[in-house]
Amino acid sequence: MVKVTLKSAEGDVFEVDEELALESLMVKNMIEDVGLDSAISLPNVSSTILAKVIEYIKFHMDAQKDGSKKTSEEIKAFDDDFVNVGIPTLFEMVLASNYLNVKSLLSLTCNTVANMIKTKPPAEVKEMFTSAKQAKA
Amino acid sequence: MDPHLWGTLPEDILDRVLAWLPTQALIRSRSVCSRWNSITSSNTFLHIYSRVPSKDSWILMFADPHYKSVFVYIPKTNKWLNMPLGFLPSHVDNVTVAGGLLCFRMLDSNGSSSMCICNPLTRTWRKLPPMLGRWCGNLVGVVVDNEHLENEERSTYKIVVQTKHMVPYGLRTEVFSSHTDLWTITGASEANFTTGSAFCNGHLYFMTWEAHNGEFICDGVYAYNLEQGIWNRALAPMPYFYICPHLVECGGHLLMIGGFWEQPAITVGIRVWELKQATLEWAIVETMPQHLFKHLLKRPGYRLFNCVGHGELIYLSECLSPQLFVVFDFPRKRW
Repeated sequence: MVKVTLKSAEGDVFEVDEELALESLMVKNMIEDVGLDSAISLPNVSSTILAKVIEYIKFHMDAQKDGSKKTSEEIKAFDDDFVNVGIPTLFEMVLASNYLNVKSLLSLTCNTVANMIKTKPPAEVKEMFTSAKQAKA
Repeated sequence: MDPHLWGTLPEDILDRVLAWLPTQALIRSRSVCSRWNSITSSNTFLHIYSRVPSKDSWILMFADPHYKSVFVYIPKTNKWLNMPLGFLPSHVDNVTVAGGLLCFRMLDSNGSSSMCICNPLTRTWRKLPPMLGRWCGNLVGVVVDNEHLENEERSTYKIVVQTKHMVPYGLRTEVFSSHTDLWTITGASEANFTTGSAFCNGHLYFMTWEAHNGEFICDGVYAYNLEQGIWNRALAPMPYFYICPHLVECGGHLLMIGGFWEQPAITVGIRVWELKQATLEWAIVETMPQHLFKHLLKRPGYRLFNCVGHGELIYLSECLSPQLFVVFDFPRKRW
């Protein structure tokens, strides 16, 4: 199995199967451009988040394999648990899945944020999405 | 934690987040600020929005004969809304619903008719270009294409109507395409159709029936091939109806739902038939249990019901009180 080396913002090195790395369209493009000889540097993704993204992709790849005994309920339970994190982590995961271009994770995280918004009254949503600059103005 | 964290979310990601909101929350989000209002109305957003799966669908049911409001049922949350339609012109009829759009006819001041299309969510409507022949009101079919979105920014729709022409004299079928914004005449049509249609496998199906001495006499089912502009009559023998029948599409199957009347022990009820494409026969699928039937049509002498196909489910409701309905699960054959 060919391995790909990913390097997080802090410089930590993650060695993963090529098959797994290709799930990120951004990494896939990088491999096509520069090859597998050197580590792929991901300066926008912290080690904590990169480890979570890898965990997510690995679980879903295993679940999709023939002979996988994972039920759709188990997959849903994993997803629910996976995004049951603090706001800063969720925020980082939205950005990282967008940057790494992992479609399914981007959908999952964006859907989670949408679920946070959908029950809030507009005034609260406005407050939540006000930037520091707008707040001062 | 930075209290303004979400405020730093780049706009292209915000698009993706908002695209996951259920319809009602999305409409509410437009009042958050002017920026969100413009984001959620932009073409880029609508493009993303149309690709997010498992939308909460709305079922529209009319109870008001003047079309001043419409009942909306949201199956996902089991909620009812009453959506006012006061923004529509005052004399509208032949209202047809498809894919979230309302199509209706309005009478112009000079006595001619115009077809209009309306999006009840954005509360906008527009008059379509004039039809080529004279409106004769027997047929309106609307097909919204949400599936071939790959090359299109928005879904497209087609409207099929029947018009009268003097030269050569006769009835023609006219099709409006939102893609070209034009009406085209596709061919002759003879039968007197009743409105109400079902779109199934590229064909718009219409049924012709007449109420005659308290019976509903069905002449047959006609299929209009939208691609080729050709009419065909499905020669399947029609059952005898005691209660007005409806055509409904359900997962690629054409179903007919109507009331039957059986002898010798006189039984009345509602039944579902399916058109078997191979044998061209109407095969009985299921009969509604008697207690549900009696619940649905409990007004004495009242024999009209509405019927809406939605995914794998069919919703049947009494015309006067749409909030009471019976659901049929077609793949599982359960009421």
